[in-house]
Amino acid sequence: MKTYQGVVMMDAPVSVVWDFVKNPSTIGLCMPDVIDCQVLDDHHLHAKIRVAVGPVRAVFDMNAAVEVLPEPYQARLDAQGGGMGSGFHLVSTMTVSEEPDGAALNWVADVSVSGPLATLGGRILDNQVKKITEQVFENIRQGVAAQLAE
Amino acid sequence: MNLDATETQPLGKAIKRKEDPRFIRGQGRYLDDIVLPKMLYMAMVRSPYAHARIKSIRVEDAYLVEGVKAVLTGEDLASMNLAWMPTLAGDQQMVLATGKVLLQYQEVAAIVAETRESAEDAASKVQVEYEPLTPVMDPFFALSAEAPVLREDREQKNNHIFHWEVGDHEETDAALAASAIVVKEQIRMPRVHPAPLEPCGCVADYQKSTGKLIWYVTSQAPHAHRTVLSMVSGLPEHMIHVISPDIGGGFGNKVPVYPGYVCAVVMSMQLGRPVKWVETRTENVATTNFARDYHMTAEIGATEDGRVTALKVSTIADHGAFDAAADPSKFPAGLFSIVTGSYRFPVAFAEVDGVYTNKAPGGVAYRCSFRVTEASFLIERVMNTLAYRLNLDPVELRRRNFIGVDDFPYQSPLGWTYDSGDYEKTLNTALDMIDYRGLRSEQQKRREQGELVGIGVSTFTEIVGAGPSHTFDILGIKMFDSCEIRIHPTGKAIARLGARHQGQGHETTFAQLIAQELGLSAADVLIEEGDTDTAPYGLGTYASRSTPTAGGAAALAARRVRNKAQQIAAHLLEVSPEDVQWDGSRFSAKGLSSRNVSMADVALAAYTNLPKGMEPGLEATYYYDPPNLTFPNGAYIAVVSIDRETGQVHVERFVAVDDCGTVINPMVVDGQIHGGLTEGFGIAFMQEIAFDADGNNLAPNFMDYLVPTAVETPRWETGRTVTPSPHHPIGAKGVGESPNVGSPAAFVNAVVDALSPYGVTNLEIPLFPWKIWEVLKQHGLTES
Repeated sequence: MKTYQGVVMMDAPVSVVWDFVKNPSTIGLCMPDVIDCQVLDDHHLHAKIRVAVGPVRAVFDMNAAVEVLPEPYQARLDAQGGGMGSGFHLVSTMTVSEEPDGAALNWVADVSVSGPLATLGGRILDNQVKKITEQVFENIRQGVAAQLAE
Repeated sequence: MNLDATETQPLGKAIKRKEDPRFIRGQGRYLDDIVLPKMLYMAMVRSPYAHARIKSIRVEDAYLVEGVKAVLTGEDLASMNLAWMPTLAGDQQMVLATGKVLLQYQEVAAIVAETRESAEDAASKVQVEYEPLTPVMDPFFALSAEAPVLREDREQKNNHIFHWEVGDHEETDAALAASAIVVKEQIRMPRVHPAPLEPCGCVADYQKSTGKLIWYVTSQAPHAHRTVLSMVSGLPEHMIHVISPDIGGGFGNKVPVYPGYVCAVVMSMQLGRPVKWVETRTENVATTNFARDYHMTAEIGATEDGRVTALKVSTIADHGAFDAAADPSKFPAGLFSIVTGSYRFPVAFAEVDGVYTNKAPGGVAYRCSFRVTEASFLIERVMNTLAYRLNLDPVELRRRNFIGVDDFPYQSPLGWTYDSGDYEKTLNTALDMIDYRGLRSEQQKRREQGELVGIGVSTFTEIVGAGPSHTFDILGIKMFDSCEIRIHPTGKAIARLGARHQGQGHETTFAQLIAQELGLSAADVLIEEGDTDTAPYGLGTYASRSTPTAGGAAALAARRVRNKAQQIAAHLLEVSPEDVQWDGSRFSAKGLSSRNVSMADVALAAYTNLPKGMEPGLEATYYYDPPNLTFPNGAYIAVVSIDRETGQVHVERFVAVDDCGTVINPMVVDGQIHGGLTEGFGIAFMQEIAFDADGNNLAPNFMDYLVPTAVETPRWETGRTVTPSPHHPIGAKGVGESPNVGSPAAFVNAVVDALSPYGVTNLEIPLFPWKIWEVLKQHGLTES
């Protein structure tokens, strides 16, 4: 398991960002290379995503749950998926806070990858997982911006 | 099959290998070359996790793939009482997982289809839901109270497999306490893989009409595999015909029985059609038996003038998820007790604890006679440390402690009786070949110019030829070996042995050995191995045991043939058998050598003109139970230089002088030495089956698990001394594994020597350039 973290600054009110990240229908579309996304209920979604690390290319079935935590503006995203004999598990805590220019989304993600994706990806895996994880939160930033622009 | 040298008395001659013409032309018949009518293909569904609970397996979608005939899961096997199978170490191993998976890439389901592609496609459609569990990758963590218990099937609720010890603990502790000098070193031999170029596989062909199973399998031990398969499957042993075709390298990897073998047999029996299963590279490297993975701590006591006084060794052995070590039954740590090496330790003690982790099971005797490489590496590395501690040349330290030529047979403190050796002579030969004294002064000069140059020495003793029936068995079967020789009426011969070569050259060397005994040309002797319906029972080829065991059987079977031939010769020469003499190629009447007959003459008479009352034919079988093991040894010297900017080690020279007793074919011996040195080079510098904390295998393919090619491989210089084994019928000892056993320490000692002026005494293999570069950086030896 590797831990990654980052912060995404957004020119948006905290409430908009918060509504976005706790909503399966919006956050589901922020998964990288989404082929299909189905919202199952207020907290759960199912998606198909395309994954490529090194020589391994696979389409993963992914189940994700979004849970609002007791702390204000804090939520947990628990996404687990697999395909072609590989699997991944991401558990991320997201905290939205108010900043002078808008809102900040602080995130910490524990990610474990298994199977050929991890072994054949080998030496490039760490960077690639970091990149994909960061992409999720960058997609959130873009999603929020797009929502505000509508 | 034509030989360049066809003269009689071919022992010791560099005859070209009989098998090479077909191999060089691509006409070898390997497992994957076997295609049978109506054959089906099998593929495996494997676990992505190193440790996880199986919540569900859904196979429906796999059946939607065109051509799929059957899907087999662990639950299916459980209903046949086949979900688990026995290992050679007396443990049990899952065939297909039930309940939990215990290693990444573990077999979870098997698919059989009309084509391999369909089987692979269908395997990707099987949906397995897992609940990941904490992977246990570190054997020291595995032994802690916090570690989850991996093997829920065992009554013992921890991850400890066995404790094994040998020697006198108290006396050793006392001797160490009384020693003026004590050095202690932690030496790890990482997990490596034999990585034969041909992966494992089988074709199971069960014919419902006859009830007979013909099982083509990449097997180093076909008879033992037949017995194990009979025990696992319940099939009567005489209805199992094992054929081990040409094998593209084994190195111990093709000794165990693997889950794929069992599944292919089950599927063939269910479907009544031949089923082929051949591993991919990743399946071979990631799931079949590994080697080494020993975490060793050694203490050597010595006097101030460099005489060793005691040796104490503690080892944690990472055996993976199942104890599938391919060791003789009484030796859970193999022959690790050869760890006192070539030196006269008055007292010693060694202990090994086996541990379960979430890794592939093992370990096999990868080109070594059961943990002998680990033992040799340890003692040769720590003797090096002692030499630094004493400020003594490592060669001189070895000389002071060698078992002397007059000490043989030598009783080691850990229980072995060494048969023979002349360690001084072997070392001196190596020193002369490399001009050791000149080399040391050249090293001094180059060091003064800022070069990092090292010289490493390894003077190892191996123990091979398992083994004598009083001590050695596998699953209760004594470790003899066998040979049957038939002489045809025209004086040509066929010999069948219980061994099974995988590149060792038996078709040539055993022909030479038998021809020598019978006065034939090696070209006249056909060697056949690997067919259990024709060859006599034997325990197979591994652990350098073929020449010490099957070779002994061949010589003694030939002598039985010769004894009968002498009776027939007497009849032909019209003298009494006592008046017949054998000169190595012909029988003659004593005192009248002009009256003589050849073996061919005798052979014809055996079928046409026999003494009255004699049983026709000329053949014999011998099951050879060796009285002792044999103890090959060698002196290896490596010269290396290190690139300060990259950490790359360049092996400038490597001299290997081996003493394997009587040499049957010097060219084959040299070939064995070259191959083993190349593997030893890979182990020292390039190879490790490493894992991340999640249990992912980081080297499951040849991109990350590096096998030396001609580009990287140094030039080898070989030499030889000959100290015959006093108890082997022809004095031979076995040689295939010596270079793998002896060379890693020579390489590492050389690299350590290069860095020793800067205080380095120990380095952990593999010596990847980045690792060396980090050491250089720590010591301010690089500007990059």
